Formats: sequence, structure tokens, C-alpha cells
Amino acid sequence: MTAIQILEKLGADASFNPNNLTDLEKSEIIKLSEKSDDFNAALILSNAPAEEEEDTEDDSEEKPADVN
Amino acid sequence: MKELDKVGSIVCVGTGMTLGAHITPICRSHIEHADVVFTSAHPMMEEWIQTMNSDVRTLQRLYAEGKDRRITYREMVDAMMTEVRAAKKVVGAFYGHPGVFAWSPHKVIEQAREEGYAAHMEAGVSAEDCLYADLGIDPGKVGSQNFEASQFMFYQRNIDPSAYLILWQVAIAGDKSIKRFSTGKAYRQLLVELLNEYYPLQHKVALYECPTLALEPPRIDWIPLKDFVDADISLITTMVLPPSKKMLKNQKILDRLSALDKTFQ
Repeated sequence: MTAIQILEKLGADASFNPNNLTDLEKSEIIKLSEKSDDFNAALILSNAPAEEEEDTEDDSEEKPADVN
Repeated sequence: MKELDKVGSIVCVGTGMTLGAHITPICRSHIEHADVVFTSAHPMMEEWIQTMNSDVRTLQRLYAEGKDRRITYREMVDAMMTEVRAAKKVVGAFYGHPGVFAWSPHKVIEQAREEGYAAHMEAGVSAEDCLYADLGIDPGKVGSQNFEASQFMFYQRNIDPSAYLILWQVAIAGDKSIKRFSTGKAYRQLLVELLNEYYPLQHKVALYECPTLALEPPRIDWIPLKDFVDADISLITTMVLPPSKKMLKNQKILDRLSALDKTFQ
């Protein structure tokens, strides 16, 4: 199994015991996690009042403004 | 003028929060059968999605420190719409639930429909769902209020301290520039002062993070509200404030309900 397949199984299979992983499998997972950068979780905008005064709630996010 | 029955389409799906654990069969099926899949998720989650489809493209590269996130989000929509207009079956796979605290998935569906393309969203397991499970909170017990932290600061909200309060994206609380990946202690101090209008400084709040990998436990750190200023937080940290007051009876309505009961029994 690849590291990703192991991680998938860990998430999806309640009977899968991580203690049974081989040293090679463990090192593959560690290698994969080490090369993974942090990801940007911000996906939402929140408009500041100054912007909302001019625009409707949805449209305001599309138009240039100084604040969100 | 809108055209109907165009060939291209877009479906926004959720990967869930934890790799392998949360993706629904229908979300996975959409990913597997898409012509192209755009993703915005943890790199390992994205690598996992690559095992389901041969054309997976990350949207994470569109972020940059100092870059206005409105531009990033618009570019996400444009990237997906370009392929929809090229008659492709497009999937946008976003971590958690694609429609919860996410602008681009809603926008791309709106735009695709406006242009006459088939477009819809499939629900996913959100961080909020995991939070309720991990912290043992039932939002139906006393109620639960959810706010994006910056919006909570920008606007005058009517907070009910007898219900739970959940603040999202506390790491960028108060960021009016939409360019930063974190604000700082002065901004957090201001948030604490705002919250102190409703909660004592010693009030215990939880800092919560849902794990990406099933190997890791969730982060659940209970700290006094005042200590939030110096707490270690990231973009995925959520603040949970339990109630500081008991619910007060609405005697006026209770009396009227009693009167109704007498009438209709």
C-alpha cells in the first residue's frame, strides 16, 4: 500500500490498526507528511461596514474596495 | 441571454475534514467521473484526490501572502468557469463542506447557472460537524451562534451569552486588508475586549482544530478567555465559547401559550 492508501484506510476502516504498520509504511507516511506544506484554509470573506454601505451583501465581495 | 442545456457543468463537493473518513459516496463519485477536478484542501488531501482522477489541479497556488484574497477567490471561480465553458464536466472539491464559510463554491455555481450551465453543490462534513462530535456539544440544547471572527468584530451583533458562540478564522480576526494569513496580538486583544462585554475574562473557551489525518487527535485546548491573546493559533483554529448565562424564561409568551392551551385542549 502507498502512504496515501494507508492514510485513507486509517480514516475509513475502523478495524484497521495502525500498530500493524511496517517500519517502511510508517516511514513513507512520515515522508509524505514532511513534504506537505501548510494549506490556506481561509475561504470566506467578511465585508467591513464601509463597503456594505455601498453594495448589496453578495455583490460587495466582487467589487474593489479598501476593506473586506 | 441565458442559454439552456450547455454541455459544460460544475459540481462543488466536500472532501470532509479528515482524509478517508468523511467523503460521501456521491462526492467521491463526482470526483471520479469529472473531466477536471479543482481542489482547495490540505496537500495530503489533494494528493488523495489525485488517486481518484487523472486531472486534478490545485487552487491553493492562487493564495499568496500580501495578495488580496478577493482576487484569489475570483481567480478560483475563473479557473473553474474556463473549463466549464470549454464543455468540461468540472468538479470543485473543497475541504470540509463546500458551502460552509466558502465564497468561491457558491459564486461559481451562481455564475455557471447564470450562463446556462448545469451547476449544483453536494454537502460535505464540515468542521462544525466535527466540532459538535469532538467537544460533545449538542447545538439544540441551548442554541449555537456561528460567526466569522472578523465579521463579528466589524458589525454590531446581538450575542446571546446563554447559547454557544463559535468564532471561525480567529487567526485573521480583524483583518480589513484581506491580505494577511494572521493578524496579531493587538487584534486578538481587541477581540477579547469585545467578547468581555458578554463573557468574563476567566470564562473558559475552547480552541478547536479538526485533524486532517486520522492519525492525529483533534486539538481541544480549554483556556481562559484572557489567554487567547497569547495562544498558539492558525488559520484552522476555531474558538468555542460555552454559555456564560442561563436561559431566561420568556414569561410573557409562556403565559400566552398557557392561555392557548386552555382554549384548545
